[in-house]
This record gives sequence, structure tokens and C-alpha cells, in this order.
Amino acid sequence: MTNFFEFQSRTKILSGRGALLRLASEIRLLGGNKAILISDETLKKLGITEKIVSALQKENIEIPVIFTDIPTDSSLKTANSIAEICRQKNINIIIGLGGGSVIDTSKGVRMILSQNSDDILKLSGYEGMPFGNPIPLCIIPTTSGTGSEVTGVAVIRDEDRDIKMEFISTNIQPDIAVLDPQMTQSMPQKVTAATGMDALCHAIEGYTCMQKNPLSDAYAVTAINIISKNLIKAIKNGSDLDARIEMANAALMAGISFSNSMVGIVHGIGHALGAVSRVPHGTAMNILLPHCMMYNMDTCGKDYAKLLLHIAGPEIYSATPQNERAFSFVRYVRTLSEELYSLCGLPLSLSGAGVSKHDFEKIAEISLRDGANLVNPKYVDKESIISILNKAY
Amino acid sequence: MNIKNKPQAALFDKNHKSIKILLQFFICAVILKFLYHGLRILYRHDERVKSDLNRIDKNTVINLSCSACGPSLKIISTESGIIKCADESLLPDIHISFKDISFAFSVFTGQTGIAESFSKHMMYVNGDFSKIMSLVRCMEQAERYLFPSFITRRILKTLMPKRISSIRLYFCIIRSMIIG
Repeated sequence: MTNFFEFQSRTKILSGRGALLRLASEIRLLGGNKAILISDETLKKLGITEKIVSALQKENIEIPVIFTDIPTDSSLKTANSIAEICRQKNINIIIGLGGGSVIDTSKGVRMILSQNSDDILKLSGYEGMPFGNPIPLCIIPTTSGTGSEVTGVAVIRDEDRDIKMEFISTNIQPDIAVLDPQMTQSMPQKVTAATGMDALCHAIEGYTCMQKNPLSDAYAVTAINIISKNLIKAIKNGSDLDARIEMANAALMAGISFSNSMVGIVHGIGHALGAVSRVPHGTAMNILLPHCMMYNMDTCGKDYAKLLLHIAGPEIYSATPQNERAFSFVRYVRTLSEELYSLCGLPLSLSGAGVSKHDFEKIAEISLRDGANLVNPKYVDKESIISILNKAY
Repeated sequence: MNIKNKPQAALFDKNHKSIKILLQFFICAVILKFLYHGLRILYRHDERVKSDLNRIDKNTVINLSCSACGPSLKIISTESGIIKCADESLLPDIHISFKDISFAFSVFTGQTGIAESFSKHMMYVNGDFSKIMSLVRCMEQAERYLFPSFITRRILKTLMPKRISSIRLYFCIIRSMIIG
């Protein structure tokens, strides 16, 4: 355990049924009256963007720009062009409505505007971004996985180089996160499963990474506990609003955890897998998690053993011999993945996700340059990445 | 200590602190030079350092600073590894800075590993993270050579096999520093 840590979570959280009703008053408190709504095409087709716009307009909040053309994994060019639109229209508040790509794009736009920059690439880095002149940012997540609504991390794809760029600073944490179960109710089974596993992965890596601390641990274990009780419920019955809001809370808590403790090898490889083979992030996490846990077993075994209590409950934990708890925890995660496969077909292997073995070399090469591998508790080199990819194939 | 002696004690403490900072400043400056020459030599002798440095785009200007006003090392990546950047006006593409000189001292004297210094928020970084990672890996590999095993066992996650002996590397570094 580290003897020094930093912890920050500045986002105001509105969570529960009817949370959206409070958004307008929060926007006014932040001094905003002219907003941009960043969302995606699917939500536009479902009429969800329109609902938000009309609800805010009734409260005299002007929304002159609705931008829904967000590519998967976001893009640097898109963030730059949205920021330019915001400047032209004198936007004074950003609202991000959607999943990880939309949220990270919204954070990117906020970064560009608050740092008065013309290119987001110039802002890449780790904790080096000044406070700047931040424009308020409200996030309404429509998935329960990324936790991006509360993190100081944005991952945006550089389409020219086929890599995912990381932007890490506490100054990019959103001001408001609105978790309303209405927003995740229509999430398809497979997306619920993939994003749920992403949240589980955040919590597990948050609990085991080098930057872990007592506060991030507290969020991580609570998140694991909630996910173990609610993920299957939310998949089986998408209209179960209690399970939906519990999953949203768990994803948020896992987000707070990893935002302060960082993520490790699962994300280190997963980012590259997404960039090269276009595997959706949650799917990549689901496939890689057990294999990466086995790789980290000799350094993280004690932590995995403790986590068994939170995923399996006190009876199973106490009935499991101490030296088997860590492996038992990994087995639990595997079993959960298998259940998700049988419920909604979430791939269990890289071959099932359509990844070609020919791409392994490129994936490993890109993964080596990912910051997440630096804070993984165990040393990561190219050979170990390729070995994990082969096992996950 | 009586009250009469207090101002003197404070003065001693202040001088003591400034001597300590000066010493740290001097040691960090020397180690930065060592690191620079070490990386150049390892580029020729260790294929892992070579491939990591080759991952950084050519003509990337990198500034490694021990604190906001501390000693720093400005280098440019080239076709054949790295060279010192003499042009002060060139703005760095990658800027790595320790938040305090004592943090740089702790890393450069083998009390703290590079990965640990990241995890303890001892430094901040501006620039493309993928390039920074390549540089960080090189620095970790250099640590493997520059520090004795009892230190590297503590600060590195793994002990990578050496391609040349540390003594030979030290000899080459000193020769390179003298010859230039």
C-alpha cells in the first residue's frame, strides 16, 4: 500500500429516478444558459436527445447546437471541430449525452476551450494541464460502464495513427453527472453486459494498480459488490429500474476508483485491441480480464483473494481456503463472463470477437506505449502481451 | 534549546536546507548527464533501448526537468538515437518535470523507481503519452545498468538481462563525457 496518495472527485452527482428533472437548475447554478448538446445518432433516432432539448428549452436554456456525429472511440478531429463550433456560437455550457465516446469527446471539447487551444493534440499528457478557464461540463451517461462521467481521464482515438490517445488531468473531471435509470433502460442486453464488465474491470484494476489508495479501494469494493448483485438482473430484465440505477452507481464508483488509482494491463492491451481490431471496449475487457488477472497473479494474488469476499459473499469466502481465494476470484469472473455469453452472446475469446492473429504484433507494439502498462503492478513487455493475446484467442 | 538561541537555530536550519537543495541540484545535474550518455551508449549495445528510442518520432524534442527551476536535459530524437538539443529556443514536444527537486533526487539516486514516481504523482508530463512511454521504458532499462542489483531489485518490477556489463557501461559513459 502506498504511503502517499492523491485523491480527487469534484463531480456533483445526481443519481436516481427523476435526476434529469434537476438538470436545468444545476445548469443555471453553473452560470450556463447557452448549451451545446453532444450525443450520438442512435440516441437521436430514439428521440432521447429531443426529450432533453425540449426539457431544457422549457427552462429557458438555449441549445443552439446539437452535435450527434460522434465516431466510435471518438476522434481528435471531431473534438477540434466541435470546439470551433462552440467558439463561433459563444457556448457557455457543454452537455454530453451518451456512452464513453460521447463523454470523452465532450471532455475533449472542454479541454480545448478551457485551455484556449486550437488542437487537442497539444494538450496530451499526464497531470500537466493547468486549471485554465473551464467551461462547465454536464454528463448524462446512457451506459453503465465507462465511469467517464466522473473521471479525470479521456481516451480519444487518433485516426491518423490508429492509436488511442490518453489525456489525464483532474482538471477535466465533469462538473455534473446525472444518473437517471430512464437513460439506461433502453440499453440492449449485449451492451449492458459489455459495459458492466468494463465497470467490473475498472473496479478490479482500480483495486490492484500501483496508485491504489484507501479511498479508491473503498469505491472499488463497493462497485464490485453492487455489480455482482445487479449485472445479471439488469441484463435479464432491462426494465428493472432498480438494477439499472444500481449498475449506474457501480460504474460511477468504479470510475472514481480508477480515476485515482489508474488502470493496468487489461486496459493497456484493450486500448490497442480497440484501436487495431475495432473490438468494442467492454467486449475487450470481458475477454482479457481473466487472462490478465492470471498474468498478474503473483503480484496481485493477495488483493484478488480479498475481492472474493465482495464478489461471492461471506459464506463462500470463509468456506474457501486462504490459498485458493485468489484463483477462486478469477474463476468467479470467468463464470460471470460465461453466463453473459449464454445470456446475450458477449464474446469470450478474441477469435469470437473477430480478431485476427496477424494483428497481434501490431496490438502488442501499440500496447507497449500505453500508459496503463506503466502502473500495472507487474512488468509488461511485448512477449507477455503476445502470450496473453494467444491465451485469449 | 532556549529562546535566545532560536533565531540562530532557524538560520542554521535555513542554511542547512539550502545546502541540501544545492547538493541535490548538483547531484541531479550530474546524473542527468550520466543518463544522457548512458542512453546513447545503450542505444548501440542494447536492442531493447534501441527499439524503444526508435519508437519516438524523429526530431521530437524532449525536455526532462528535475523541477520548475532545476537542472534539465533537452534532447532530440534522431535517426541514430538521441542528441543534445543546443537550440534553447526550440519548444519541447515532450516535457517531463518532477514537481520538486527532492523527487528527482529520490529517483536519480535509486530510492524510488520511475513507475513508482508516476504512481506517487511526483512528476507531470506534457506531450504525447505514447512517446513518453517509450522514453520511460528506456529510463527503466538504463536504471537496470546504472544501479547495483540490490537497488534495482527494489525499484524495478523485473530485472531484465543486461546486454553489456555495468562496469563497461560506466567506463564508456566516463569516456564519452570526457571526449564529448
